Amino acid sequence: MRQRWRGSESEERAAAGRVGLVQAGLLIVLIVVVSQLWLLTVGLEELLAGHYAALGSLVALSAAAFLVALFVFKLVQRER
Amino acid sequence: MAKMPYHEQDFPYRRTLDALVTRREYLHLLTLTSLGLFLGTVAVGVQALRGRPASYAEQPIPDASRLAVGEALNFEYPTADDPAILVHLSGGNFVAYSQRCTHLACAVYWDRRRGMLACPCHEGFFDVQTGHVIAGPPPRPLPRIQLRNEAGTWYATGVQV
Repeated sequence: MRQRWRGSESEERAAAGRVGLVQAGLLIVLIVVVSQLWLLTVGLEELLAGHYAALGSLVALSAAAFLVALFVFKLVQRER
Repeated sequence: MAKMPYHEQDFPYRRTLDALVTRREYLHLLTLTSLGLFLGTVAVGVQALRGRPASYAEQPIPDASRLAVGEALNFEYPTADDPAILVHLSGGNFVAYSQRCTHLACAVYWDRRRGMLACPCHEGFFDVQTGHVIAGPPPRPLPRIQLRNEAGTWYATGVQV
């Protein structure tokens, strides 16, 4: 029978914590991506309707969303 | 050593390889998707900056003054690639709209019997007084062309979206 390697209890807890961190990061970035998809849809609709006033705000919001995603990604990459 | 199943000799597929995409790799992929969506939104903004005309040139509409009440006339405005329609509603009351349906850009026509602008492709109808959608799939009103009358000649002066 295959023996599973078991480290010390603190190592196991740390590994479990990292998994949780990655999963949380994944969920946050997924929400960010869905929001950005919505922003892009609204932007296209505004462009086609000829309403240009809101487009600047939409680009800024999308940039902020990307920065959040990038921050989460970097945070997760750091915690290896 | 266990004997390898016959099908695996021909197709050495290892099921465990499926699990090689880790959560971190998914996160990487999602972050790249986020970058792509941001760039897409920027592209929409840039397109809006490029597409917005600084001003519209005033152009005369030939034969508009000879249009009878209840009749319509097709013309082009603001460029030769932009079909438009002018309708004479009542004595001296003219309206003009872009002829491109806001649904899928079919050419709308003046349905005199119904008193509406109609899109034949998907049965979209627009109010001729305002350009607003009355029925059908179009999501937005027709862009209205602003008109001016000077010495009996009608001029298109701008587009109001």
